[in-house]
Amino acid sequence: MNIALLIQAAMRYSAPVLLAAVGALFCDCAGVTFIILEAQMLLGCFFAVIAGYYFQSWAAGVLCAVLASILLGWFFVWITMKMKAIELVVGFAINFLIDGLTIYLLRMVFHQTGSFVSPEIPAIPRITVPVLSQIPLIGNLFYQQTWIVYFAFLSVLIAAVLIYHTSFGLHILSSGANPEAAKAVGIHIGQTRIQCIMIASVLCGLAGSQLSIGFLSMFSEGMTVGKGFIALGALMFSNRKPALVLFITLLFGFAEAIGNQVQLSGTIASELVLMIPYLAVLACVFVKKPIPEQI
Amino acid sequence: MIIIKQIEMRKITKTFGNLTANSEVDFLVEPGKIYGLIGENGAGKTTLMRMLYGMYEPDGGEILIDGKPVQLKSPKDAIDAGIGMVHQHFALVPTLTVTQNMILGRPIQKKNKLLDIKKAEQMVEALGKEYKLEVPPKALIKDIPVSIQQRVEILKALYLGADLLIMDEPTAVLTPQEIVKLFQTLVELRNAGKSIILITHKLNEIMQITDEILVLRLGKVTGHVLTSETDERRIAEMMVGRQLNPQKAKKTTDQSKIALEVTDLEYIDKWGVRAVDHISFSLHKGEILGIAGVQGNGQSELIDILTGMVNNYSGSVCIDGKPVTPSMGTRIRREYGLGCIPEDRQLTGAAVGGTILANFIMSGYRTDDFSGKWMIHYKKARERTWEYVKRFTVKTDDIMNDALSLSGGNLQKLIVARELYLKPSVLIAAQPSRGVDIGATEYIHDTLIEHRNQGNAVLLVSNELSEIMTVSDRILVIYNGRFVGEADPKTATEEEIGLLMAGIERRDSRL
Repeated sequence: MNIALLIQAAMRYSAPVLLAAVGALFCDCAGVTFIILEAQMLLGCFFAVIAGYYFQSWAAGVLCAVLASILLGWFFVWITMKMKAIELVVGFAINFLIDGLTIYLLRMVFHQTGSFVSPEIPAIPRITVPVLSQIPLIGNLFYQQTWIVYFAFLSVLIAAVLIYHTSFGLHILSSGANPEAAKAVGIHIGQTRIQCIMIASVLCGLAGSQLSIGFLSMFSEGMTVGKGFIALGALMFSNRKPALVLFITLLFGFAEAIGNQVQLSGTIASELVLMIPYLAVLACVFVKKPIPEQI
Repeated sequence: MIIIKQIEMRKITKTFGNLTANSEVDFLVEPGKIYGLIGENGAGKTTLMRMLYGMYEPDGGEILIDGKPVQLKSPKDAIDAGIGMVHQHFALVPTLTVTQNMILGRPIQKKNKLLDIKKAEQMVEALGKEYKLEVPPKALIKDIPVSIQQRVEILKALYLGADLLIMDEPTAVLTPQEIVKLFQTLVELRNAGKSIILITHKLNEIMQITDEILVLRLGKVTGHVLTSETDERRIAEMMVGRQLNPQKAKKTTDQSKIALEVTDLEYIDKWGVRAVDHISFSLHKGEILGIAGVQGNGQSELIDILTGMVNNYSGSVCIDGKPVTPSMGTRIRREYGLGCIPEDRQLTGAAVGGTILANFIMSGYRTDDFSGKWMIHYKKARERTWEYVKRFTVKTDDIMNDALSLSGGNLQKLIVARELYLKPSVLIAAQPSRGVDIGATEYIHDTLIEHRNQGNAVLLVSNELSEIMTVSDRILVIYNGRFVGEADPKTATEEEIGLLMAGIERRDSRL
């Protein structure tokens, strides 16, 4: 097994999950039960492909993916905050809705079923960081990835600083832990939560773009295969610590990379192999103690 | 530098649907004074103050600061205008540190916009020294005691530049000694030129510390007086809008027989804390025994043991001469003659989703009064319930309404009526007047005394020392799950009992 290829694949696989998990981290800290990451990623996948294809530009694809995800985020905001619906229920409904909607649109727009593959779908260019990629072993981290992958890893750092070292972070944490306290000192809880949802929406849009035009340049039905939920699992495991979010998503990435290599060797049934990353995350969540109850 | 600020509320009116919470309230707040805002539950005290703090907008009237009308649309506006509020349920984030909570409303940042926690911690220490309100800057809020949390709240308001400090029921969670300390602080703040509004329903406190008193009743001002020119009784009458009746007289009773005998109770709670630590006492017939103590010193657990709500305790309980084992549940104990007015009437006192009728018959439905041979006899039950609802002056149009439709005081009266219906020889009354207005409190106290006069035993558990002092025949003080002293309400002073409640044992204590 080629270590360099494995590391590169693991980074590629973990990036979308990581982006979604960081988005979920913001929402969780702010006290929003935000489970539509999966739907936002899937919608992002779809629009990245569709816009990329029509405008013949990966940038347009990414932009549309992010916009679509933001729009869905606003829909969630409207229905939960303005219409006072329950976040969890709305979340489930949206996840199912988008799953069906992308399949429907795929048939209506491309007259395709199952998946849409075309050499005319543009891909996000791969970047090799000049000097850093020359370092032995570590260099693999900076070799032939899209900017979204690099940004995903950077986003963990940004989240850690924003949430735990700025006043915006204090607003987020207080909105989540004791909204009354936040309100009493004049913090606008609704705004803070909307800001967090928007951050998550942008990150999920990027994650979707990476999944569809960052690597494969195709769209297939339900191609996120639960990555949004894996992100939620990673978040639960992390106890809101960004470093642990990074750890578990990387674990997922490695498990998927190894799984794919095993699959290629063809010795084990592929259905079993496909379970590996999910089992790995599940095991982690089981091992971990639950977050101590907040007063 | 002291900024002199005069805040005036003029003809303030606020309605919620059909309910008028405040009607044409005038209130002038001058710097350097402590104001008492007093009134019964639902009199509109908190609503009035929330308007001053920008949490509600008044429907009519105006708020003026130094003579200029202002619009306070959010707490932020109020804070900017120099108004701070210490809420009854502290507005602190338990998972953040003292310092983080302090700077929540106004961050201290480095040049690069990151938080400067070190500088903020120094600020917290300096501010604490300045106002003699020392707090640990690095501790998490959930790890510090309630009285320190309150200091953090006061400091937070001061840090945000409050010239007027609104304190909503600040003494509810404090021991008598902590209350003294708090009042010293408030006096010092006043001397520094701050104004303070103390929202409370405790008369003795308001007489002790305030300069002026504003009394609200049903949303209207029923009195605005100088504290030096009034007394408790007159304030109380302004609060209830009528003359108060003297408390029911205690008849001499035969107190030679033991109604409840408790020996060597021990209970370790689910967190491994010894909540009840080898407690023994006996309660006599014809006696009201008061258990005084600061909340959380084992009172709730003791009640749960006696009523059978928990059964993993050790020690023996004997109700009216009949021994009960830990495994005997609530039903057997009730049959032995135990009744209980629970401390949380919403949770264990009543099934608020059920009807008033259901709530009334739920303890005695097995008796012939309510049931035929096989089924509940609803016609009889309705008659009985109406009879008791009327006798206990529970205000309702229809006993088939949800219990939730009753106000706190009326629900409590319903529970008292239910518990007394079976004429228990031992009645446990836990916080019977919590959140209940003066009228209902008066009534409940009289009922307890009447029950005692009939030769029954009452165990009164309350955080309100004044309640214990006025109603009991004998007082036991609980601290850390143990009785630390016994007192006679006729001779003991509140200070003596207060010291015991704080865990400072007397040398000559009889236990």
